[in-house]
Amino acid sequence: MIDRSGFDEFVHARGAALARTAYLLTGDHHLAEDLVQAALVQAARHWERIEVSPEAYVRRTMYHQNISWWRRRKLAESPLASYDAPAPAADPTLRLTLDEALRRLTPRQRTVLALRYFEDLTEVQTAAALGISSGAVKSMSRQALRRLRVLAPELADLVGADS
Amino acid sequence: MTSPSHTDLREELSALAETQSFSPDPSAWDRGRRARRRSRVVRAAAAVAVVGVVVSAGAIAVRPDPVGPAGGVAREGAIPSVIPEGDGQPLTDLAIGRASVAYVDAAGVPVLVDAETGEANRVELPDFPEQNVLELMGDHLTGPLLAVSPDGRRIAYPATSGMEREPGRQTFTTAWYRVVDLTTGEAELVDTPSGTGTPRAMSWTADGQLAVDLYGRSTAENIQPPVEAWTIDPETGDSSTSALTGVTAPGGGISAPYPLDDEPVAAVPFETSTGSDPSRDLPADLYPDGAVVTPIGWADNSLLVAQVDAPAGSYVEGEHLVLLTSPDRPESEWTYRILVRDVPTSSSLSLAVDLIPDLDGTSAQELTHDFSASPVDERDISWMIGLGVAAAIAVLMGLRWLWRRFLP
Repeated sequence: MIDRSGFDEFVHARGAALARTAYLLTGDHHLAEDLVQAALVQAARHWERIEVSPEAYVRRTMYHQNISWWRRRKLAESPLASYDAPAPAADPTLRLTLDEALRRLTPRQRTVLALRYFEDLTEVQTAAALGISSGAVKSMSRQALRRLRVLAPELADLVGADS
Repeated sequence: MTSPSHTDLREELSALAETQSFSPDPSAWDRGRRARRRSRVVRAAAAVAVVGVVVSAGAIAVRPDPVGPAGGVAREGAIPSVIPEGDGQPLTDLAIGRASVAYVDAAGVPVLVDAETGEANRVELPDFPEQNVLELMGDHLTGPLLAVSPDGRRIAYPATSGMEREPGRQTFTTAWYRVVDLTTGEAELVDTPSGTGTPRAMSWTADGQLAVDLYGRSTAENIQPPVEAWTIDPETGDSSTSALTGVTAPGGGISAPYPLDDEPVAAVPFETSTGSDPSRDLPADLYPDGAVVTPIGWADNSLLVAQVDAPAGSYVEGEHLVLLTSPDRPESEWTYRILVRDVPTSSSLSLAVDLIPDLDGTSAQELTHDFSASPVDERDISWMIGLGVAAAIAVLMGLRWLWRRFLP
């Protein structure tokens, strides 16, 4: 009989960090919670195999699960024209503007940004985590930043500006 | 373009992320473990199902085939690729089901080959001519006197017996015909047409009537009377003469007459209802010296089944069975196929011609069935199929496992 105490300790120690990443991946508090829970259920299912290093497994599960969920929902996404329209500048702070703009990136773009600029992974590490090429990571990262600048020009200082 | 300020962006992202709270769901562990148990049950069930499928497939494949297969076409019997010799005590129960071949062996005993098993059964037929009568009839007969119907479910023969018309001079007479239903074993009497004698040959028409060739009335002493052809309805006994002698094709437009002697011929003679008597050349490369050809039946409107007795030096020497196209078809459609190479020493051989499959135009088509093939071969094939199926399922399950492991 496998002991669940190791799992509980892991959740207690790393759950909050996982939830923070999940929020950046999803852009939604409820979805983030669901994403973490789903990844933890998967971790419990395969605990015998991953208990030595569960966090890498849980994070990878979250990255892929988030994109998978998005694929299922994407038919309900808003049309591209309105998607690319600038975000309302009514938000009083830069942070809220960034939050709003991030939500309007694609999950892949959001994921790449979260891994590169929040998790501080290199392009190679990001590529390995997502199962794509480094070139794709580089390209997606550039597209994500460009879109942020389009969606929220006031973020230019934060995400870089065209010369 | 400038690169983003990593530090600032990271700080802002961290600050955003901090807005997310976390409250652990205590049921996550139990849900995960339940899912694990479910997947194990599913895997075990799948494994049981695979074993079940393999075992079932093997059992189905090994199960004795209800023979068919002249090329796998008919499933109710087939012509054997080798016509076996009958042995053992003659059967008195004639309900053997369906016969593919009927013949009279060298000892004068009728033999029926079971269409589904290929087994040759010597049978005891009521009123069947005795051996000495058969010998007396020898020169009189031009074709079979024991005829199996096209579907193999009935046989017919004349109830011919010997008599001493004058002291020391044996002769023979036919009082009636017998028709035996092989599905019930019942033997019925059928009257001979009024004024007719012993048939020279018997066969069945495609519509289930008896067809006999026999001598007509003599017109002058010492002149051989003409040969007449009659058809008799075995159900009602109604009979009528036919314009064509021999074995008439379905539709009645053409017939193949029985040979009048044992001289080899280079061409097979035919009769037609229009009065023309075309012939069909035998393949000279197969029969450089010709052959004796006795018609047996028609596999279709223009495909004659015949027994060929070829002299030494022929492609196939001795008695064998063939299919050949009748000459009323354009020469471009002609075909000539060896049907059965091995025919036992016999007389009166006839065939259930419905068991010959329609020709598909390829020389590789199997027209007969090898009943001697070992069932072990079939078992080997069935296991190969079973293992192939199991291997395919195992590969799919393996791929599924890899998919779930590396792409959770």
